[in-house]
Amino acid sequence: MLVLPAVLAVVTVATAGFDGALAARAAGRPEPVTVPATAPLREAARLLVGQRRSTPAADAVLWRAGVVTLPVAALLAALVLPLGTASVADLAVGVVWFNAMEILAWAAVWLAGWGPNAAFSLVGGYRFVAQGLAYELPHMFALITAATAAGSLRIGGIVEAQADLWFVVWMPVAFVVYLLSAVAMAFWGPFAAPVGRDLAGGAAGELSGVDRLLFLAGRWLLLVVAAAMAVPLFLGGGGGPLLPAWLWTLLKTAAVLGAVVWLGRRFPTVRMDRFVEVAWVVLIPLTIVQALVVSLVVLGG
Amino acid sequence: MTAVLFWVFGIGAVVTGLLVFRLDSMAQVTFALLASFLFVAGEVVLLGLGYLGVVIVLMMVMEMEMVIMAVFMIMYMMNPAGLMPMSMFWSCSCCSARPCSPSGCSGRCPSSRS
Repeated sequence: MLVLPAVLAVVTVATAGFDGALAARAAGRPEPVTVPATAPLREAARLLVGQRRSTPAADAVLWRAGVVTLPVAALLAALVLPLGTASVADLAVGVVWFNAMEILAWAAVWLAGWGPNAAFSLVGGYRFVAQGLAYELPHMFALITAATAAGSLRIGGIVEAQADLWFVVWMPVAFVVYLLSAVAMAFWGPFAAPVGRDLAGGAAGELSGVDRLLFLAGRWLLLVVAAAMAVPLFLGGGGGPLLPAWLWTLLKTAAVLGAVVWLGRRFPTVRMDRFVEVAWVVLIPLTIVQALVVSLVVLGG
Repeated sequence: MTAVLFWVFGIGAVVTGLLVFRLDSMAQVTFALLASFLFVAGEVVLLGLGYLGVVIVLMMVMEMEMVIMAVFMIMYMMNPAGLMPMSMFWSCSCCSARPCSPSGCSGRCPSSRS
């Protein structure tokens, strides 16, 4: 129970630091790697002492609620995330719980965009709703595929079902779509249009001080939790030779996050209306076919 | 513990349900309704129907609340951004000289602002 927030915090800061180090290298800045790698901590300290912004005629209740909901949703989703074989709560409906909690991000980002009574913020909030319409259905089909193969909605049961063969081997489409939707859910990298520079920060544009810290930390946390869930769903959880299960989980999570962050920086920002088209015309049929194949294998075996 | 949670969820659902008719911002009304549904989901979980309760959370936040309510209600209803006083009832209290409509008084009152 107490291990989870600590591990999540360390992994999240490390991920943000890795992203900063990649950015520094891409920009050709000749600073030692410790400077960008510790930047998240320095930024957090700066935001903690910063003043909170208030705007005229803001809807303070909804604004603060949205900002707080984002990290809380990520933490609640992480309750079913196993470290090795132990998770805080291995619910019988773990997959559905995970999906329901991460959905709260929709409400959170829209509220954070609505609250300050500012045009760019509001556009950012609506952008995220449009993006959500694109990524959510492929995301749910990917989750359902893993649950179907295991015959269980319990995360522990899904890990046990991969003792012989990791799900990523025979459901690669679901795995790739899952990671894609994880990045879109955290509106990061190519899917950062809701907080894009063309909107002067979008949904996060009017946030400063501790509000900004909560919102941006919640966003990184969401990316980490969503990417980490790919390990029990598709990569065999804590399974592996020699090393203990918790270490395998951490190593696999680090590998997935490293790949996601590195790849995410390779692509330009995707307009969400184009992504909606790709999602509905390409990704949804692909994930349905993937679910069908997996169902037939389960029925036949 | 279960009894306490039952009453907390129950009273929470009723209070936030009433707030739907008392708040004067469409956005706040939408999320008061969502809060009410989430309390109901808590009751369903207490009944031992874990799957149903969690799915209620999932569906209410996504389809019901965010997409349909927040987008369409704010788009189509009389008070798009909380800019004007709003009543959820058919009400003629602001003006007796004009006929009733779902959006309160239709048209301006002859003597109110001149």
